[in-house]
Amino acid sequence: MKYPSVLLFYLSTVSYFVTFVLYLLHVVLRSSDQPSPPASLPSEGEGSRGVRGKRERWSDGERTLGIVAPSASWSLSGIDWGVWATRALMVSLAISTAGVIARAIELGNASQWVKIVLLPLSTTYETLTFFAWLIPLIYLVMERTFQIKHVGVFVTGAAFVMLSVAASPSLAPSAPTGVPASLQSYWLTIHVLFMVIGIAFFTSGFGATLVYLWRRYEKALFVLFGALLAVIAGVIFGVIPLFATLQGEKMLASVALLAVLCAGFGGLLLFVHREGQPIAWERLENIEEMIYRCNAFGFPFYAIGGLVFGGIWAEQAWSRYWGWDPKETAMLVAALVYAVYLHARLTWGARDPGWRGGLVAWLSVLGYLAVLYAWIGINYFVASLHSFV
Amino acid sequence: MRAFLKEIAHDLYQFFTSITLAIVLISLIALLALVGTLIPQETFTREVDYIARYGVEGYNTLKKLQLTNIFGSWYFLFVMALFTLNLSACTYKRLRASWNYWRLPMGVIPPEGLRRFEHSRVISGSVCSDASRKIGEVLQRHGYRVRQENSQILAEKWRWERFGIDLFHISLLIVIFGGLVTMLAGYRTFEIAHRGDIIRLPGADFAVRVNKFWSENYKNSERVMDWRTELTVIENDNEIVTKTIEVNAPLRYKGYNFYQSAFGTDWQGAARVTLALARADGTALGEFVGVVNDGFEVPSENIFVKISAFLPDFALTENLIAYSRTQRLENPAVFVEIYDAQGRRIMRTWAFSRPEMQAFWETTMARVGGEMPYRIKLVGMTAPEFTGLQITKDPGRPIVYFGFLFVIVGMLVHIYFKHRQVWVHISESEIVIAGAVRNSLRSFAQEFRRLVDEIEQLQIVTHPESELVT
Repeated sequence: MKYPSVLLFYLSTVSYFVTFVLYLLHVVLRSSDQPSPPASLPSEGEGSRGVRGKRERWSDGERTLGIVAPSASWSLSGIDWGVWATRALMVSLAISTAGVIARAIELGNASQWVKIVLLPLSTTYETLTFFAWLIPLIYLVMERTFQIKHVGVFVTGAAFVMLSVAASPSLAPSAPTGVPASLQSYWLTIHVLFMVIGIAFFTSGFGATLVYLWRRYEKALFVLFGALLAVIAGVIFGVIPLFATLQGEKMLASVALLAVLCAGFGGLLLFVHREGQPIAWERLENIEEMIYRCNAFGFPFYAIGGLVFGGIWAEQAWSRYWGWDPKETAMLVAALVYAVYLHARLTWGARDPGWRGGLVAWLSVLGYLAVLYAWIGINYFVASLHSFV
Repeated sequence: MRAFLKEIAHDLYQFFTSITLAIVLISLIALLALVGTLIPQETFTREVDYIARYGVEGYNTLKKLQLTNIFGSWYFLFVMALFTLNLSACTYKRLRASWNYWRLPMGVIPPEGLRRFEHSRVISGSVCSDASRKIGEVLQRHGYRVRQENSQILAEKWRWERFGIDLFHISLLIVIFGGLVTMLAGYRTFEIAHRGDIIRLPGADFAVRVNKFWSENYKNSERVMDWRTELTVIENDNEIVTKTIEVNAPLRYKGYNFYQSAFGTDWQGAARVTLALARADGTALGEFVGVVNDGFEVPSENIFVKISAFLPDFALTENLIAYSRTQRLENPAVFVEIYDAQGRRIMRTWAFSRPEMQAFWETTMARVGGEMPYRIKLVGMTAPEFTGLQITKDPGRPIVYFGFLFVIVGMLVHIYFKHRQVWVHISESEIVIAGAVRNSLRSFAQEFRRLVDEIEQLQIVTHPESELVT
């Protein structure tokens, strides 16, 4: 293999898949044949946290979340999948770290080291593989902090999908090419690094939001997920491009499509609202705070990286801080939606068990959709100065 | 009357300081910006591209709705103005609140109140006499500022972070102001320059000479590594400074900035074309060379051939306006007008270098039945290279950078620091510890627990018998 990074990324694709399966097992086989110490002994449970046994299977976050429910003693569920999942995640991370480093060196060689610090982020292939490294890394930190492992299913699944897409020959030139002149600046490193760290935090936050919404509207989990995906795909691939053509009948079709999507999704929400059993608010608080912390941590990275550092760089390269370039503008939209989220959470109260609390969570979903739009969606139907990412 | 006005002022103040208004306005801005990403904006789109994409009618509709320049439209500016007002009002209100908060010291809270805190803990047993000193030391080790009032220890840290969000909002206003200054007092132009050109700018007491420009490829590759232009600043006939600019490395002099912005072949402005002329009956007249916007004479026929336009990539819009789709030599075409000795135009036509285009054009023209005394073919073309320089003067720059700096500081302070407070009430038979944090973060529980653990390990309470209060 001429480029070690490509081999490493193939390896990590496999590794992330295994990790994904382990996380899935952890979530699905939620039983335990050795029930963890009952939480009903406050002096034990809360007071002597430090001395608690190492064989603790269910973390606090998960117990409060109400995910742990003792049930049948199937032999497979005797294995501590969550711990193994985290270990597998660390292995995958190690492999993709090596891959990213190898890629950075290859890119540096191909670019004759025009600027000293080069992140492998100049093509779609490099961006995807870089994200498949960074997002799980950030998630791992959040998992350690909040002790909630369910988000891992989403994160490792996303990393696997990204690497698979990157591996498809049609999309990805795997041989590094020289960095174009407009990107030869140390601001590439600073600006893009901040953006991707922000996006990685948002991704963890989005994963947590999904878990939160799943718990909030428990029964209709699959329907909800399916509908959500359909709406995202429908809007990104159908409504927006159709509308952007501005041809009468196509615009009409897009409005009709939007109406159908809204009606379908709205109806579903009503259905879920009626049918679902929203679980006790107490249990949701932990994960709600994880969403908030992920989004609040990601926001400065995303906003400063995009608006401030992006502006400074754009002034050097394109002679203006801000030019309403589609990608810039889409990034602003995403940052604004997260700003709305932060303000709404502050004002309407995240702990409101009524519709306001739900709305705040949906704002987090909307923010992530806007991030996806700014990051990927916009590249496909608008010409932009940012056409390289 | 005065009371009425006062009431209105009060209502306005209430209106502009509401966060709900902020949420609505931010959402509106986001929505309009989203539309702006979907419809190409006229600052970087040519009219012909609009027509090619939306048709004439669609384009006119868009233009009427100001959607092609949405960020300069009255409704966008109106929303932005409202937002700026809202932001200023909120900043003022918040700043006052922060100031009042800052001045309000931590107060003693009776133990019954402390027990009801979300983060609260009671350690019962007989408390030894130097408990308060020891607890104070623990808290100080954790970075708390400790104060004692009667039998209570009041400890807190990061109280100043309350101003983080105010700093952020104020610097946002500064950035907006800097942007306004640039918009109103700035200057911006785009110059296409050839070798040896001297660029003079209005209001500048110096000129800039383009010495040379060139591009560099990566080794063993067709890929361009960089474009460069060597510029010399000339002031009072003295050469002041010479700098090679490249993408990402502009020349800055006396408030003016020179950016390497474009590079290429100046087809449309200065192409030199070779045309093969023949009479309609097929008699060849030979090949002639001419430059765009000029022409050549054919003495044997006593005519003047004017080369009116050259398009490197010929295409037609819906309403049959010719334009160049790209700047690459994909489908070169030249527009030629022929005048007789009296200066009357006797013919005009497009000539192509691609044979199928030429054949198509000739058959079309034959069907239309225009007067065609001559046949013209485009057989050769060259054009000089040019370097494109973006030149700006930007008086708002220092203001914007100043704002940027504090945007960063303010946001980091607000997000990563949260004011925390701890009360420790010490009596003879028990210690009540309570803590609070801005935004009542649940993750404060871990820090609080660590604090309590450390206080317990001090062994200042005999017969410890802990009790959890939630």
